[in-house]
Amino acid sequence: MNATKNAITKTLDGNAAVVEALRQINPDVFGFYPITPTSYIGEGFSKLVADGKVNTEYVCAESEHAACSICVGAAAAGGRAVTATASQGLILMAEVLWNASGMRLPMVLINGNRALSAPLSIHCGHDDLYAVRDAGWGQLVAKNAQEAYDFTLCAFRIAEAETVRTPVMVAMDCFHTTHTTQKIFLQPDEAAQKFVGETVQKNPLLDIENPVSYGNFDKPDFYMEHKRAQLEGQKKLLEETKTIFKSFAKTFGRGSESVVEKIGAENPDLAFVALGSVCGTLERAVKKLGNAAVIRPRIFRPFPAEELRDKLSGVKKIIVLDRCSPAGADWAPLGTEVRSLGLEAEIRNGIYGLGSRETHADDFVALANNFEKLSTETPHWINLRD
Amino acid sequence: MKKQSTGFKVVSSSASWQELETGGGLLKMTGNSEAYRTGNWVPKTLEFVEENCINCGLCWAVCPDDSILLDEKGNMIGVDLDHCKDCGLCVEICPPNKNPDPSKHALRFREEESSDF
Repeated sequence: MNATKNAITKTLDGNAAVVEALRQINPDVFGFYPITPTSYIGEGFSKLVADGKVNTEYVCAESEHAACSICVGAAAAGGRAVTATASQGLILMAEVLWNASGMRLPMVLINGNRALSAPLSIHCGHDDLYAVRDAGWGQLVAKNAQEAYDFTLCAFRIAEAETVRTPVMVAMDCFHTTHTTQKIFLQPDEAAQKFVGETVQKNPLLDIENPVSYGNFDKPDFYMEHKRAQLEGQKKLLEETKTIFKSFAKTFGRGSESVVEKIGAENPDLAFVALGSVCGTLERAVKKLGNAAVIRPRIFRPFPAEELRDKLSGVKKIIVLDRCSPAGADWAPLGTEVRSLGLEAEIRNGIYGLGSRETHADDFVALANNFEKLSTETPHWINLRD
Repeated sequence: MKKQSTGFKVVSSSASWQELETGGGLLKMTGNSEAYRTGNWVPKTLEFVEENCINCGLCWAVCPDDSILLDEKGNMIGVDLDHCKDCGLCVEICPPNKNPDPSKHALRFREEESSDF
């Protein structure tokens, strides 16, 4: 645990923690368009640029679509590129997300998970994260500001790995994480930089001696082969994430080693499965319940099915919590994924915290105590007035 | 003179997904738009009847795909069927095509369907 002792302790919110990680990484290009709740990432980083603390080309774009496109161009050119956004911004970037992953460009995106309009909400929701889950990106979902910092350091390494070459987004919850000031550990600059390493170029556009062209047209005779080849990068992304999480924990003496974290009883009767900041609340709920645990995927795409099956084996009752409407499906996205694991357990789906609707530990305790009364067919909406 | 057929061959048309270069449609070359033989998308192909052509050059002027093939003297010698999209602008503008007798037309669509896709 010496590495933790070497760490610098600061009180920062999630946005500021990400800015610290990006300062240490010193990326080549930052394409940005401001949006609540991640505006501060651009603001804080642009100050670093102005103060000469980083050498990054900071580009103020005219929209999120352009901000992401700038990063795609920079990554194709061989640079290390990053952007930050949330909610409507992520949705506006959607078209470009598929381009980045399809062209196997290892950029990084920081998202502040925010509910989608309409009605207009500036508060938390996982709608944006789920909406682009099939974009072919890696999606790391942070629980708190500490993980937002840690995941940002990991994301570049994962994305740029030779076998992966796939973009990665680091998602943290709007306000609950982006704006909540916490005590966090920052690794010293040199240690963080050593961990992340130098970017490795692959077929860079700016290598004029070896010209390449990106984004070419595929006719029906090749499109399917290219999509299958791309999937291999995503499978490797999950493997690489496991390796890098282990390496992170070993190097810095902290953080979970696994892509699925389990907190609570060793052999729980009941388990909550959820993403992001709510897991802090759930940890209090499982303490009150006793024989219960929180099983938290730290990555949503690629989906860590094997690890979830492993951590959920022997659990009799599972409540999967989604911060998103099922939007026409039987269950919301995480619930659907867990139900498709083919477990023997009784599974229920709960919808909580849309637009940051208050949800307390006692609400989850009550949910667990009323498990038998919950519908097996449709999700239960927590704290909904009806 | 323009070549009748380009013939870029980057990977074998029977290549498996494992053999493809990482990067989606990445090609280790530039200036490759000619390599896309988009002419084979069209349902009908264009036919050039040389003996009816008056070499006015109007078809060359209107062709959006640079698919009218000329010799060094500027005489029309055919259509680049690898890239012709069958838009029909040349057929429409061709003066011999104004003749009510179709056998006197210089540019016309073949009747049979020819598309690969």
